[in-house]
Amino acid sequence: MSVSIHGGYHAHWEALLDALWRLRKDPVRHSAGVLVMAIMLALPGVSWVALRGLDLLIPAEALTPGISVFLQKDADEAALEGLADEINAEEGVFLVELVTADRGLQALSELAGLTELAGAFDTNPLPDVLRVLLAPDTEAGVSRELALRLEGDPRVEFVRLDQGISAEMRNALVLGQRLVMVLAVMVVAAIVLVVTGATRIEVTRARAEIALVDLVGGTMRYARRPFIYMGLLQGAGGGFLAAGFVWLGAELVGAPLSRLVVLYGETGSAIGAGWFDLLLPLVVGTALGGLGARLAARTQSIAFS
Amino acid sequence: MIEFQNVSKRYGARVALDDVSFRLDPGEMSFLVGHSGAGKSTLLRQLICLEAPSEGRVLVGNFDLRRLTPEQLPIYRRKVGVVFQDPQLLMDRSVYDNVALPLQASGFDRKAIPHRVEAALQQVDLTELAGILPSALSSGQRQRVGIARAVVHRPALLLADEPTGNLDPDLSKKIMKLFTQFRNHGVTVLIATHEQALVESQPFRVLRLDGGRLVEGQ
Ligand SMILES: Nc1ncnc2c1ncn2[C@@H]1O[C@H](COP(=O)(O)OP(=O)(O)O)[C@@H](O)[C@H]1O
Ligand SMILES: [Mg+2]
Repeated sequence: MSVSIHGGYHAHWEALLDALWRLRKDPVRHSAGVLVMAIMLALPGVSWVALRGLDLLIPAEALTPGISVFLQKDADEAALEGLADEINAEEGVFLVELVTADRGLQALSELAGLTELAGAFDTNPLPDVLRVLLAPDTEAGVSRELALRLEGDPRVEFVRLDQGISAEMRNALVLGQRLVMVLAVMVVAAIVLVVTGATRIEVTRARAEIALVDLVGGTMRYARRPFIYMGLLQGAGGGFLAAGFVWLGAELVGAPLSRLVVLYGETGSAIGAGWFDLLLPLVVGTALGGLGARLAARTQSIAFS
Repeated sequence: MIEFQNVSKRYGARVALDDVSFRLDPGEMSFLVGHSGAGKSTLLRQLICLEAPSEGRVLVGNFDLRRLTPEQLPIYRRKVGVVFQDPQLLMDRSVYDNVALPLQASGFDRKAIPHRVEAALQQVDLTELAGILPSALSSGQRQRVGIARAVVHRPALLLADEPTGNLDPDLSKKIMKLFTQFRNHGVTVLIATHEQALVESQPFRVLRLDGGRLVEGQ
């Protein structure tokens, strides 16, 4: 009798076919399981891609605190230069940049893709703006005090402090990323539970068969193998679907985000799902499916009735 | 072939086997008889290592069943065929697949499986029904499928627990004839039954259990 306990490559192929056969026996239940896994895997995936897009929304210079000084419309060039020099001499000021109304309108129309925008106005509705960048370690009190002082200046229409907004955005983003990680951990646990539960049901249904395999000298490894492949296949199916969801979600979230990012002067190229974002759910799904099934595919034998 | 040395089996306070000792020679065919509850199934369970005895030793061929490692257990079981009262067929698999199961499960040479299954089905006269699901078979046919499955890997030892319990006398006789044929091919056969009439019609050795004690055939 030519016997090998493990059966090699062939045994795995047969177990895979056997697993497919079992999946086909109850397609509705198993597709539902795959769909649940796909949705769970897609949740952190889509969130992550979206957060990465939002990250780009926060302009790099907003990382350092800044003040936008909107100037009176009738202020003349020389007065503006003077004000710029004055501000430059203030404590903590890193850079002062003059964005004239003309340049502002031109940039806006270019970025928005509306070339006819510039021609639509008889007079430029935009004010001249001084963008004041402060040193990154400038304390909030100092910048607020400077902003208040500038607001009192007759050449200034109004002042916007940029510091609060970008810092809050960044905090929210970090919080969001942490939440996604917590979500991912919960999803991992949930998928293992789902697969474990499904496998246990499957093994329980096949109890008589497994006992029989045991009785005729099949190894438990042989008996378990189809169920582990079932988990692997379902995990792979769920992961594949999840990759599809992530791609779709990235397209849906990415398109409006890209437009926003372009408005903010960033390139916007990194928005959308990369191959890694799509591969990850597939790999994780397959691994978790296999792991969950392996954990659950414990069997015992029956006795004579 | 088989040797029981002072084997006892207790389930809590209940004694199912009480100091049972006997030997069976290779190629011998014997009946294990006794009333319901006498301990027949318990004795067979010891022989296929579904349970360990509370006391004593069971030897089969070169195997000391108490000493089998988890790796040796499947190898031992591949030398044993088992027939049940209810043949325990997989109802969602064809007759062929049911009979092929022991070979597939034990990593038997893939290319040799069809031939072996064919031969086993031929022995129980079921070659035409290979592609059919068991639900379409009569109880006698199902039992024959169970027997084909028990012998497809050509075991040295064939155990049967009430194999004719669900069958009418005519079918029972046919099944007994099958077991005799296997014996004639050198297989050691041990058949547990509580049907006295079945035993009386056969010229084979009888081991009689009563309340877990072996009272005849030591
Ligand atoms: N798993 C078990 N747990 C407790 N008692 C058992 C178990 N199996 C068998 N018995 C008892 O052991 C005795 C022998 O049972 P069994 O071997 O099935 O008898 P038989 O097969 O001769 O009818 C009976 O009294 C039965 O109730
Ligand atoms: Mg019994």
